[in-house]
Amino acid sequence: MNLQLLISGMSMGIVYGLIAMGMVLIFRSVGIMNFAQGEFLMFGGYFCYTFNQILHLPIVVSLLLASLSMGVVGVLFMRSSYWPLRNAQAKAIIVSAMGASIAFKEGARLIWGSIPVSMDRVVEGTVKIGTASVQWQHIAIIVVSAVIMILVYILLEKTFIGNMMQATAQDQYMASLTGIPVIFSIGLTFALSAMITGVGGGLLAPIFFLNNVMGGTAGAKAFAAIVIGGFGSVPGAIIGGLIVGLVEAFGGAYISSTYQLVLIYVVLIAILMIRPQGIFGEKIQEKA
Amino acid sequence: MKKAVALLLAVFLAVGLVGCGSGKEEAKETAAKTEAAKETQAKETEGDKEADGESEVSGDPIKIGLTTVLTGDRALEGQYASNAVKIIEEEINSAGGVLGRPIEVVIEDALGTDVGAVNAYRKLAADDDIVAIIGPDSSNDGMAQAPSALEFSILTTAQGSSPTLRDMCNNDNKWLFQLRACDETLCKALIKYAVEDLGLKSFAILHDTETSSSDQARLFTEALADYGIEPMVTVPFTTGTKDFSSQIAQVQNSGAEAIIGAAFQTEAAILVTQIRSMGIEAPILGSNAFADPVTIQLAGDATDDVYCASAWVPNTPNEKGNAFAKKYQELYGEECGKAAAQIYDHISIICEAIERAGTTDRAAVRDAMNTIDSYPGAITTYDCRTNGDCGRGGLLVRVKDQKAEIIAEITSEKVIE
Repeated sequence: MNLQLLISGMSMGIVYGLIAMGMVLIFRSVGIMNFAQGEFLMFGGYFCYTFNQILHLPIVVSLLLASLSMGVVGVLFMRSSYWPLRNAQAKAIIVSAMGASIAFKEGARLIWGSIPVSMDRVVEGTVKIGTASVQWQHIAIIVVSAVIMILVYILLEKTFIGNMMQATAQDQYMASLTGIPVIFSIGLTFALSAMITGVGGGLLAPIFFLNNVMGGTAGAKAFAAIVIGGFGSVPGAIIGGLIVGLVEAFGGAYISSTYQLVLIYVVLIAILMIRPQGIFGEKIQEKA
Repeated sequence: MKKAVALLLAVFLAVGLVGCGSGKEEAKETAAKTEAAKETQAKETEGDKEADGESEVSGDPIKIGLTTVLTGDRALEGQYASNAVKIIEEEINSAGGVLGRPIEVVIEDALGTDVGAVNAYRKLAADDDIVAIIGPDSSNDGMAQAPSALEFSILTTAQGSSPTLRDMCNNDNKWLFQLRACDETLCKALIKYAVEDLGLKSFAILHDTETSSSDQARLFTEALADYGIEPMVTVPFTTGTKDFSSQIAQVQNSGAEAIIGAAFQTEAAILVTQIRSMGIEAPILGSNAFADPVTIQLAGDATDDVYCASAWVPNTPNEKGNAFAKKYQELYGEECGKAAAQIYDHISIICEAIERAGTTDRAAVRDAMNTIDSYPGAITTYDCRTNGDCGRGGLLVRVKDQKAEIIAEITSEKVIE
């Protein structure tokens, strides 16, 4: 039972980590928490469904194409929901993102309908580990998400484009003075954020099915992951996501299945009481 | 700026082509099918009219209000309802209407919340031309609308099936009718079959914490108590839960012979899939949603050996229901869900009450409703002599090869004190 819980908790947790990482990238770039991030998950899932079930492409190709499509959605989202309000108060941008979240949900309903849908798995079947039966898709989620996280790390830390994005995130004005095209850099960050979150949607959909409201709860849990990991920290988002996933799985089994969400917030409060800045929260304090 | 706008439009177009282009062929096919079905329907109707020598409807339409969920989490309900409305409006109006007048169903979005349901209801009730109002699928939303039904004195048919709603209809609110068979009837029938026919002796219950599923879990527990059986474990979960491994692990540890589930379609599908993927082969007994076409489509062969006492399945033996399900499939290219069949019956019964009243006066229509004692609907036969639990049955089904096979029809007599 414990192994079962560990693997399902980790696979959920790593997806929360992906969403949280996407949120953190945007937060670091423009200083705003994107409350439509959960909808990137849902939209990515639907794009994947379109390529896989309607165009009948293999699931791996569908995931790649869905990710690229989400990149375009990320840029469109940035241009329509953030850029026109970039000089307004942060509150206005947050409300704009919330409005976009509703538009995404209802847009998806209009395009793909209200009936939940499913798609192919990356790997079919289950594997027996000891007494536990584990779905291969859970393992695929963990592996694919880990690979994405490593690729994002390499992109941000080891490439020129990544350095450009980080420079823009640290100081937009200074970045523009050094010749970095700020709008391009911010657009790229939004695109990357939407791409990694969208892949999460495509990975989760075969297990949990797709509907236009699947992003809401996942987005809330990703937000908890960010707070636990520390605002602005990419490793924090990943670790926070894993903590949320594991608390959800083990807390649900051993404490209360009704109050899984409550348990997550209890852990969140406990961690904040010990480390108010979150686990990896130093950097953001230095910035402040 | 112009460049930016042009670029934006170009990208939108590209995304649109990628996202929607794929469905073009299927969309064309569906459109062609729909067109053909409509033509056939029109021809049939024309033929029927000629044969029956029916006269055309005339005058202002008789308006019936419908509060259903068009947006938000439960928008599937609204999709089914809106589709059913088109079919029944066309059927009734082409057959001479009601009192010689056409009917028109006015739809308001209940948003999937009790507040939304009440607001939608009050907007409709304030319109003097609305003769009766149909509530949303949720018992909770139906109960929230009850005080407004009293206030506006208008016949209201609730779609929910909870026993709390039944008692409210019977005791507190003469304007409110529960048309669907009460969950109590269906839950008892399923447990009777599980214990007496399948010989099962120990059960674990997994249920959603929202009102109707919690009610169903309680009714299953009470039905088991009639046989002196106590559930080995009762595990609740919140609506929207995606990963059930912790809940299923508790059920697995209990060693129960069978699992009873109470949830909506998406949760039911995830639950069934995860139970089977964890290697549990115990029979699953479930509420309505477990044999719903959407659940079967999503969960595939994991739904095999799922038993369910359901108000509706598309392959119903009910003649009227079967004809409706076929027509729905022809027109919309998808299987007909319970919410569509319910709306079909609600509108039919309200029209019957108006015909019996011979007027659109709200009070007269309400009184006429109580005279309906054996109305054959698409789902079941309705007896509305008392306001609650009007539907007289459902179907006991087993899912096999991803099809809901009917084991038996559930019928109950109305108890009038």
